[in-house]
Amino acid sequence: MASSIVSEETYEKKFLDKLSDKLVDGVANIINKVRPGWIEKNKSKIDEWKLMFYAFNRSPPGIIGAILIISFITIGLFGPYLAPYSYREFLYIEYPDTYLVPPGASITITNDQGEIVKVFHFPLGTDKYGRDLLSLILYGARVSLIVSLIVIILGVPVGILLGLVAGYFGGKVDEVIMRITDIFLAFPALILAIAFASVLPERIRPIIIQSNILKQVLSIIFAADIRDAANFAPILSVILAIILVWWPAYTRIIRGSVLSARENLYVEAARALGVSTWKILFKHILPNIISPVLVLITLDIGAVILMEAALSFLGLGAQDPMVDWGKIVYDGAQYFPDRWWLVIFPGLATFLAVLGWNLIGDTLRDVLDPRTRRSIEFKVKKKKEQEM
Amino acid sequence: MKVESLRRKIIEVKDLHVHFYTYAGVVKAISGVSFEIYEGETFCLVGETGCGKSVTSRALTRLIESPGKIVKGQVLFYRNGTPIDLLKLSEEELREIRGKEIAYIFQDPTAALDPLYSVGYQIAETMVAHNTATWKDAFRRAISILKSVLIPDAEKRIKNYPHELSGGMRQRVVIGISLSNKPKLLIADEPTTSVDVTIQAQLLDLLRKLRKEEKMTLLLITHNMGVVAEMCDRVAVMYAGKIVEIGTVHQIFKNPMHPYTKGLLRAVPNPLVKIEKLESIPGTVPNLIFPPPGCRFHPRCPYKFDPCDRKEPPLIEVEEGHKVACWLYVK
Amino acid sequence: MAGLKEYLIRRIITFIPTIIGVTIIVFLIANVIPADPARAWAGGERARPEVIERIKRMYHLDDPWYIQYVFIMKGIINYFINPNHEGALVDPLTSRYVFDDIFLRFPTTLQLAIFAEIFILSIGIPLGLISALKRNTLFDTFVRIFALIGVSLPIFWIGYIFIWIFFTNLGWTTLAGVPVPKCYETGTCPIMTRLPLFDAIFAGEFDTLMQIIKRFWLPGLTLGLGAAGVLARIVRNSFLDALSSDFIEFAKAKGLPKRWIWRHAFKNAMVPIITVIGLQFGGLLGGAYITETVFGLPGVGRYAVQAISNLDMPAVIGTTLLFSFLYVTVNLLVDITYSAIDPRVRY
Repeated sequence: MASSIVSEETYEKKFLDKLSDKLVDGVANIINKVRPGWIEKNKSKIDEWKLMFYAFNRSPPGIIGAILIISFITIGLFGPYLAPYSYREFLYIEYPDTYLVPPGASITITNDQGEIVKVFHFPLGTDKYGRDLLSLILYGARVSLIVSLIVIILGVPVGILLGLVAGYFGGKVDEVIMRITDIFLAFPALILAIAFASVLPERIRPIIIQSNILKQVLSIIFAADIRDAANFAPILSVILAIILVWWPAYTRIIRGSVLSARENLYVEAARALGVSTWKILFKHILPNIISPVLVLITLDIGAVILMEAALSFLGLGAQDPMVDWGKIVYDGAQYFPDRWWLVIFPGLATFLAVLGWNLIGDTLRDVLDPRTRRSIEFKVKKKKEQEM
Repeated sequence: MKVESLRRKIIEVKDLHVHFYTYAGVVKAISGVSFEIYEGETFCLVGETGCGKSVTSRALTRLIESPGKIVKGQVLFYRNGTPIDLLKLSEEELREIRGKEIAYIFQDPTAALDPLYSVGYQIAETMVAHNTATWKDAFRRAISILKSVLIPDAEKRIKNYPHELSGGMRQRVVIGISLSNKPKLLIADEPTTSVDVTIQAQLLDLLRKLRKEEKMTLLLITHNMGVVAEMCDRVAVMYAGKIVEIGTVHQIFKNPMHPYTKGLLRAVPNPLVKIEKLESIPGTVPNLIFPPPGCRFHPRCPYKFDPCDRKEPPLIEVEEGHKVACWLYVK
Repeated sequence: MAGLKEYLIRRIITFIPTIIGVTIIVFLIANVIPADPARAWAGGERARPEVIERIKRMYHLDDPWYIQYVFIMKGIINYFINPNHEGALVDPLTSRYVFDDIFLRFPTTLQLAIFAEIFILSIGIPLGLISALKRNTLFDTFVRIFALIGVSLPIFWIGYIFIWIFFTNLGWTTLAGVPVPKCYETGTCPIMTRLPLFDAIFAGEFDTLMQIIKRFWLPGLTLGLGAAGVLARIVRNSFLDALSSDFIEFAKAKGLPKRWIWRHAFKNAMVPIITVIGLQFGGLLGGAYITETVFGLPGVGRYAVQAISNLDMPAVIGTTLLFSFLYVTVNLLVDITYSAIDPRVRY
C-alpha cells in the first residue's frame, strides 16, 4: 500500500479542492521555474500542502474567514480607487444639506430655478463634514491593511530573530535579551503604544516634511493626497509603536521552542557535520518550530488591526483630514445614538476584518495540528468509502 | 519449570476481535485471538511492534478507548473456579476488578504517574479506592510497599513527586502500585523497554521475586526474546493481530514450528557463536486496514505454498501444549 | 514543599530589577517628548516667562537626564514613605500630588476589572467545561465561534451597541458618575478598603450596592466578553489534554472511581488555566481605558491617556509605573500559584 495519500480514489474532491489544487500546483510551477527540478524533489511536500487545503476547505468557519480576509485585502488595495467620493470632499462646506445624513439618503441639489443640478447618493450616510461614509470606510481599509502588514513584516522577524539567538546561544546573551523582553512585556501593551504614538510624531514629522520622495511614496501607500503629508507622521508613529510592543511575545515563544528543539539529535548531528550556526538556525530549527508561530501571526494581524483602531479611537492615529476606521468612530461617537451610522459601520468593518483573520488563524491551527487534521480527513474518506 | 498437570485456568480468551475506526480506515488490530493462562505461571505474549499484543492486554479489562472497539469475543476470568466474562460486566463491576484482582504495569513509568501528586499518595489511593485500607493505613503500607520494591529511604521517598525519581525508581513505584492490592493477575506491558539494561535486570528479578512471594500470575508482554527466555513458562507468538504459535518456553525455543517464530529466534544473535551477517525477516509488517488474504505472514514467508495466500490456517496442536497456525503442519 | 520557598525567594528577587528597569524605560520614553513641556504646563501660548522658568527649575528640566530621573524617583518614593507625602511628586497641571490623582481614580478601574473578571469566570469556565464534556458537538462549535467573535469585537463598537440596547432602550444601566457608599461622607464605614464595592457591602448599604452594580455591570461585560471566550476555549483544551494523558489511562487501570479520575484531570488542567486567568486579569487592568472612555468612567486609564496628550510627564510616569507594578505583581502571583500546584516548576 505505497500509494500517495492524495490519490484520486480515496478522497472525494469538492469544487474548492480543485481550486486549491490549482493554486498549489500554480505556486509549485512558479517555484519550479526559478529552481528547476524543485517539483520532483518536493513531491511529498506538495501533497502535504494539498492535504492541508482539503482539511481547510472542509471547515465552514475557515472558508468564511478566507472570504472575509480576501475581501479585506482586496478592499484595502483597491478600495480608495473605487470610492465614489474622495476623503477630501468636504461637501458640507458647499452643500450644508449633506451634514450628517443617514444611510441610504439621497441629497438633491437644486439651483434657483428649481432644476436638479446634482444628486448625491450616500448609501451609508455622511459625517459632520458631509463626507460619504462608504468612501471613508474604503479609505480606512487601506490604512488598516498597511499598518497591520508593516507591523507584521517588520516586527515579527525581529522578534523571531531575537528569540532564535536567545534560545540557541543561551548564557549571557539569553539573559540580556530576556531581561529586555521581560521589561517590555511588563508594560500593558496599549499604554506603551499610546506613549510611543503620542511622542514619536514630533520626531518623525520633520523628516517627512523635508523629503519629497518620502512624501510621494507615502501618499501612494496610503492612497492619500500629498498635501496631507504631515499627517503621515502619526500613522507611522502608530506603526512603530505597535511594532515596539509586538516583538517581545514572539521572542518569548520562539525562545521557548528553540530551547526544546536544540536538544534534538538532528541539531547535534548537524553540528557534528560542521554545519554553520546560522544554517542550523534557519534551515533546521526554524522550519520545525514555525507552525504555531504561523497561526499566531494570522491571529495577530487581527489583533494589530484592533490595536490600531483603538489608538485611532483615542485620537492618536490618522489626523484630519485622513481617516481610518477608529478615527471615524472617534469623530462620530459624540453623535451616538442619534447618528448611529458613524459608529456602527466603521465598527462593523473593523469587526469583520478582525473576525476574518481570527477564523483563518483558528482553522489553520486545527489544520496544522496532526490530531485534529486526522479526524477531518477521516470524514472525507468515510464518505467515499460509503459510496463504494 | 515443569508443566504441572492439574492446573487451574485463570484467564481464558476466546475469539477476541478489536477494531480501530481511524481516519485512514478500519484497522483490524486483533482478529480472532484465543489463549489460556494458568494460575501461578508467567505467560509471555511476544511479537513485533504493532502485532497487537498491547491491544490484547488492554482488551482483557476493556481498557480500549475510542476509536477502538471490542467487536467480538469473550474474556473469561476464573474467580475461584467460576468463569466471569469480563466483557459483559458493568462498568462498576469491572472497575472493582481492575487494580484489585487484575493489575497493570505499563511501558512508560513517567506517563503512568500523575506529576502533581506524590508517589505515596498515588500508592495509597489505589488501596483506598478498593477499600483495602483507610488513608492512614494506606500511607503506612505505602512505605512498606516501597521497601518491598527495593527503593531505599522509603520513608522520605513517599513524599517525593514523580519527577524527583529516576526512571528505574518510577517503574518500581508503578510495580508497587499495581501490587498494593495483591492482585491475582499482573499484566506487565513491556515493563523494561524504556529503562536501560542494568535496571532491566533488576526489575525482572523484582518481578520474579514478588511473583513467587505473592503467588501471582504474570502476563508479560515483550518483544525481547531474551526476556522471554529468562522469565516465561509459556509463550504465545503474535503476528499481525493473530496468534501464530503457542507453547512452553522449551517447546518454542527448542522446537519452533511457525516460520515467523523461527525467524524471530534467528534474529537474536548468540554472542558465543560467530556470525557473518545479522539475520532479519524480509519485508515489513502488513497494513491491518487491508490485511493480506489467507495467512497474514505469507508475503514474507520463505515456505509459502498453495493454500497460504487463500485460506487462513487454523491453530492446531502438534504436540501436547504446543499449537501452531501454519499450513505446513496441517495434514 | 521543599523547593517552594527557595523558588519564591528567587522570583521575588528578580521582581526588583524588573521594576527598576521599568522605571528607567518609562523615564526614557518620557524624555523623548519634545523640548518644551514646560511651556505646555504653564498654559501654552499665553504662558508667562517667569512661570515657565519656575516650572523648569522645579522639575529640573534643564538638568541632565540622570538628575531628572533621581528627582522623579525621589518624588515617587516620598509619596509612599512620608506620612504626609512630604516631598512627593506634584503634578504640574493640577498642582496636586500625582499619586493622589491616581489613587482617586484607581478604585474605579479596579472595580471595572473585578466586574469584568466575574463575567470572565462565570461565562468562561462553565462553557469550557461543557465544551470538553460534549466535544465536537454543536455546542462545542457554538462556543468556539462565540470565542472567535468575542475576541474580534472592537470595544468601541460593541460598547456603543450595548449602550444603545441597555441604556437607551432598557435603562438597565447608568452612564454618569461613580456611586460611592454614603458612609464615605459620614465617615462611619465599618471597614475601609477604599473600594466602594466592598465598602458598601461591609456597611450594608444595599441600595448603594445596587447603584454600583447598575453602573459597572455593562462596562464589565463589554470588557470581559472577549476574554471569556478565550478562557472557555483554554478550559476546554486543557481539560481534554488532561483527560487523554497517560496517567489517566493508568488511573483507570488502577480501578479508581470516576470522580477520583476527574480530580486528577482537573488538577492537571488547572495549571494552564490559572496562568491564563492571572495574565488576563493583569491585562484587564492595563487595557481598560477604551472601556472607560466609551462608558464615561473616570478611571486611571483615561487619566493616563489624557496625561499623555497633555505631555504631563510626571503623571505619565506615575501611571505607567502603577500599571507595570500591578502587571508584574500579578505575574508573580500567577507564578506562585503555579508552583504551588505543579511541583515540577520549582526548579
